[in-house]
Amino acid sequence: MSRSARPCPTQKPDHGDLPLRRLLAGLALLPLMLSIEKVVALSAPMPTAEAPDRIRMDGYRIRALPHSGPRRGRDLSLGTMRQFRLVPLSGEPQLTLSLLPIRSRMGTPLSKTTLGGKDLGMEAVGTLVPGFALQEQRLIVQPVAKAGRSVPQVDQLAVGRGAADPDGSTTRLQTCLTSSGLAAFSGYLLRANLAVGMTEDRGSVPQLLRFVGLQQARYGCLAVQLESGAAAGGQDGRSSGDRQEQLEAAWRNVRVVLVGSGKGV
Amino acid sequence: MKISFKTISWPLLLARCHSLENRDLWVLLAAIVALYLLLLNLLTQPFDELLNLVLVLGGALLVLHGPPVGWQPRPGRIGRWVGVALLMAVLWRGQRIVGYEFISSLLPLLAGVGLVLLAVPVSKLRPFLPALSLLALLPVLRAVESLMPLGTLSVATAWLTQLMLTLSGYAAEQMGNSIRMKGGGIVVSGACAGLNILLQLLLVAVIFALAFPMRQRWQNGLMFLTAPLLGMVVNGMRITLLAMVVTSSLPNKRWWFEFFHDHWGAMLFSGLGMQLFVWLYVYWMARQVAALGSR
Repeated sequence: MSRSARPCPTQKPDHGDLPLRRLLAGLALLPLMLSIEKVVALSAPMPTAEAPDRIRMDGYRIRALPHSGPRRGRDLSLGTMRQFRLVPLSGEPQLTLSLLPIRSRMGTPLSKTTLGGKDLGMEAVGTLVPGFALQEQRLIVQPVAKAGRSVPQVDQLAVGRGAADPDGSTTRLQTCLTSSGLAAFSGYLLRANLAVGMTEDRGSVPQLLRFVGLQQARYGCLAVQLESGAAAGGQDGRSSGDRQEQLEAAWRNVRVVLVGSGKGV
Repeated sequence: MKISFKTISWPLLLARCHSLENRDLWVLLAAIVALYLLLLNLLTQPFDELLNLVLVLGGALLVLHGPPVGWQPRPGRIGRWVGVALLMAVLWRGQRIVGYEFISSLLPLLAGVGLVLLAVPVSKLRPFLPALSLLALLPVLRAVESLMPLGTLSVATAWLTQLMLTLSGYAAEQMGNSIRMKGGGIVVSGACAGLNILLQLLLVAVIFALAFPMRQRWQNGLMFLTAPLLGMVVNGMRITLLAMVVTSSLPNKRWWFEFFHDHWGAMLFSGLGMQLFVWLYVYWMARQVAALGSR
């Protein structure tokens, strides 16, 4: 008889189907291995919806640019980034539109107190994707007309410049479009917008699926950046205000296309 | 004494593992599951939730009083498989948690029930009930945290803050949940209402009542009332400090504000509240013991 199979004096022989000893030992090993897996492989879920691969907008000639592949991250996962060159038929300078679905594993006001956790927010995207870095950032709001809402709603946008652009210029507009149909730049507002979508889900099958773990909460949005073209160095005779106006007007058009196609992640 | 890895003999370690009794294996399993849950909370949940879990696990350990000498796990035939299924479900669900979720507060209770079913048949659960009750407090706390309206608590905290500021010689005016001072002001809302600290102290009060009950029940009842009041006072002190920082001329006041608002500084006040509560409890118990001795 092997040593492990010999019953000790205070122990009655186990009468189960499987020796308790092996069961306990096996169960003890499992969480050890899963702990290692959790530490190593913890990551944000991938975005569920991708950005459209082609868009049509009145008043613009649009050409798709090469796209970059999806990337899984610990706090923020990125979908496929699609880029388009927008050439206004009015003769205004061309713009570059970048669409990047993002998804965070966080989405509560307490997120930042979690060890290493990053909130869903465009500032976090700027640190991960150099092309989305925004300097001299200023927040602006744009009213949104939504059917059936008595309270006026707004999109929160951020304008600023890229790292290579001259100081004081306005060459970029950024925001993130949520499933609620509203866009915001800061994590605080994005959470509020997402909460609207989740409240609408309450009591439905998705919430039950989330509870049992078959579906993750959708802390995601579609990051949008509009960037002035190559002549944005201030040598095209246009003021910063003119460029901001063009970016804001382009956003209104892009918004119609994206919300209409239901691409808010 | 210098400990070297050379002194560890792996064959000896393996032989030791082989010689572990079922009782040791059960204790080892319980410890590993507890560590797994702590790690899961550390990685995915806010720090407050981790602190609650630490308190509850510590409390559960206290109220269990350790198994008697010679005790061995003898689960029931069906109970053992229910226990295994529960533990597997906890591990499966735990692996799917990536962010703040309500169910993370339910996992310790499910794991606790699973472990108990691997130790004793259902008919002999009684000695484990106090520990399981403590684990059951976690989802209750989480539900209270997310469902309780904070309006009244915010206003009460603002009132307390204004009182503390006035006592400290600052001119402050309270309007609802706002405090106006010369050169600035603060708004008490959300987590600043102090519900977390209040609930943590209440949790400590329950753990103490179960682990070290007072002579009379009303005395523990009084401590249940004292705990949230103490939590409010301590949080009031934190908000007072934040208000002072906001209106100060400190060169790096933003850093100090964030430290006491979001980071470890907030935890200092939580720790202070617990320290005060434990001191009060121990002091009262010591007086009771002294009174008994003098009779």
